[in-house]
Amino acid sequence: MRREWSALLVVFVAAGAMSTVAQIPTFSVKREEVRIDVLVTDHGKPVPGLTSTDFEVLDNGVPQQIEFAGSEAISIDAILTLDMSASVAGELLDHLRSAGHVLLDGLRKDDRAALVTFSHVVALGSTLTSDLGRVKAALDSVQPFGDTSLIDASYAGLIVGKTDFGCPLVIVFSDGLDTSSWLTGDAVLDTAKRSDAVVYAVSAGRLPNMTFLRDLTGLTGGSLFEVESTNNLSAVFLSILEEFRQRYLVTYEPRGVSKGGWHRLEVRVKGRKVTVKARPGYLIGS
Amino acid sequence: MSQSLGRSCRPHAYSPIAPPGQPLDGGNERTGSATTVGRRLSAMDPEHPEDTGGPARRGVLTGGLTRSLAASLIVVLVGGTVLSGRGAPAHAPSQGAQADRNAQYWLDKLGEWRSAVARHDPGTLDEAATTISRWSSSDLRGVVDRVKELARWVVESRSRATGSLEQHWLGLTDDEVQYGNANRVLKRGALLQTDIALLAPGTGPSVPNYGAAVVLVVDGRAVGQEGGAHWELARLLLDSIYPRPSKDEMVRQWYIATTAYMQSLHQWGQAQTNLRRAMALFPSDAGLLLLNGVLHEVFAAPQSQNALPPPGVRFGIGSEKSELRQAQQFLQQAVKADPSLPEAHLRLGRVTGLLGDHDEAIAELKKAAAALTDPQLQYYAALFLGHEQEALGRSEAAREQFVRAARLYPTAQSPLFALSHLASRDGDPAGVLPAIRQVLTLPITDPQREDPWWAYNIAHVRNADVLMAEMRKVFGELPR
Repeated sequence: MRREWSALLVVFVAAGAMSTVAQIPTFSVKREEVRIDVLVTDHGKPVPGLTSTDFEVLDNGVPQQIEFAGSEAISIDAILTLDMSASVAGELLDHLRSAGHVLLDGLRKDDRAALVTFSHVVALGSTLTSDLGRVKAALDSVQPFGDTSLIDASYAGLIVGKTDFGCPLVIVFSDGLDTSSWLTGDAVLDTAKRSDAVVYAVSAGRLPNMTFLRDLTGLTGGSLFEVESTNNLSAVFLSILEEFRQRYLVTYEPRGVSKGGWHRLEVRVKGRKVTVKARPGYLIGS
Repeated sequence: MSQSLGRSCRPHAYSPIAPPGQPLDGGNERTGSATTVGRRLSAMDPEHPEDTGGPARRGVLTGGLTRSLAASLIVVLVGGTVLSGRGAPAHAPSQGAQADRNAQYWLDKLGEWRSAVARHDPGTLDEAATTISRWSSSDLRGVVDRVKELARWVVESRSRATGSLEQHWLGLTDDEVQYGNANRVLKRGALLQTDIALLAPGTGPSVPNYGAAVVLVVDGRAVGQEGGAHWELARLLLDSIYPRPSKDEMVRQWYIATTAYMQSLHQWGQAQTNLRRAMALFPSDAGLLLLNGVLHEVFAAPQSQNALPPPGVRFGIGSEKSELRQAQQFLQQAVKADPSLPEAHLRLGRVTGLLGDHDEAIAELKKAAAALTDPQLQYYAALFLGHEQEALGRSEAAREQFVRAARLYPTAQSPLFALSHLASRDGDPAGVLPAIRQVLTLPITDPQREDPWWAYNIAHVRNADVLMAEMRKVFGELPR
């Protein structure tokens, strides 16, 4: 949420892959900046062309001076966090790989992608990279096995998504319940409140109690898609990317509010009867 | 009881589940030896003087014993009740010829079963086990009911006369009849049914009210149903052990071994049914209390709580809190029954913490940690202590424990996630990175990523194979 946070995290993510070391930026800016991804729709259709003067942001009820709002030329950091437990084997795996490829093909030149896979083992298939072929190759090489550490993997996706380059989009896919995570859902939600990432989740099949994914997507301003069949998984992934591209990045330097604790956010569009979707707040400090 | 468990535990540091060899209360029969199978009624349990050779308690089996074989069978065994509604050959008492045919049918089935029991080699799905595994549920139940009736007759018979039809049907020795019990046949029969349940799980009849119907769950979804008929038959046979199953060390050993084995296979539903009967027989056995505590600990976990039952079915588990409370109660009883069970302290500490009493949890976990020597259990203790310290806001103490766990298992991801999240929670972005970097650079493949957390639910039964082998050995040493 704060820029110095993100800067540190970029250093970490890049350090995980020697090939990207050259891309590590240095940051001297210490001021805090809040970034909010905002989706504005009118009867379900995205509303284009808004500028910073159209938005109104209240941080704990205090109006803020918006510094930037735009949707063009914002690069995306897409973190695919995909279930590769044993139940994914077979047709579902084919659908999942195809959907991953479609999403990666939908990214632009300045966008980047990473791959986190999980069974009970959480693993980094590919660090954040603009070499999308590498991510595709990693996706094609993963073989399903084992149980499901959905919660631990979601945490890893959030952390990998903490960068300053682009807007982090975490796409979590799972077809089952968590069976082997150490972290609790609440622990990951706590981290999500501190993260810039927007999480979209896709749950395949009829599953009970999707509270965790619903809360995670709700807290980060994303959405949960529950699909009965994965036949159209590619279309779902692509629709997520397209919706994300329509979002506005709104930034401001918080003023008139205490530094720590939970900051409740209200984002409005002035003078328009539109639907605004954004994270409900952010958390700073312990 | 606790003394027995404590002694038994020493050769098995990994688990408090007791191996065989220790008789209960010191005064019970040693059924593992051919020379001690059965005892004279005059030497029976002093708590039950009515068993010491006095008048038969109920004469239900004695009326027709002098009649012809088939007629006796009708009177003694068929009786018009055992078979009702179970799909066995129709019984028409007023039609003698039909009744004789029915009697002959059951006599033949009884003979087949007893022969299979005698031929069966423990731990194998041999021809004998395969044959019985293909029987219908009505045939199985009909035969088991008859075996139980005959066993009761042997116990209750006043004459102790050898050469009776019952002796012949059960294949008992003269000594067994004179000493008044059929424990050998009952136990070998239970072993046969146990091996079928374990080695041919898909072959058993799955009549809903015949043993517990168990729903198989994968990834939170019900994917099938499994009957517990053979398990139930084994339990029914052991129920007839003389003088009482609760006084028989082999019965206790059977419940310990089979429940541990079920849990090691994540067969929590079967284990639940087994434990209900086991706890009724051995309510203060530390090993069984631990198994029961773990069962409810697992039932309280998200993967149990969030599982989706098939339409119209409700899982037999309570809310998270009620399951945790039950787990806590059983584990408290376990440590009371045997204070030297560090694994029970470990789990009691965890459950107490999950119920929100973090200080008490830490005290319990420290008690466990001080006594644990197995790295896997030390790892759990460190993780749980870290979690409880974190819950109390003691980040440094929590970090110390998570680091300890990570050192015990350097490729385990759980303590690394814990360390990273601890830093995140404390608003320490620099602390978030190293641990997660370590996780994400670990090898992808499972064998190189050992994390004992993944096996926590079954860590207490990692010697289940040994327990089962020892149980089979003791049961298998009974004369055929």
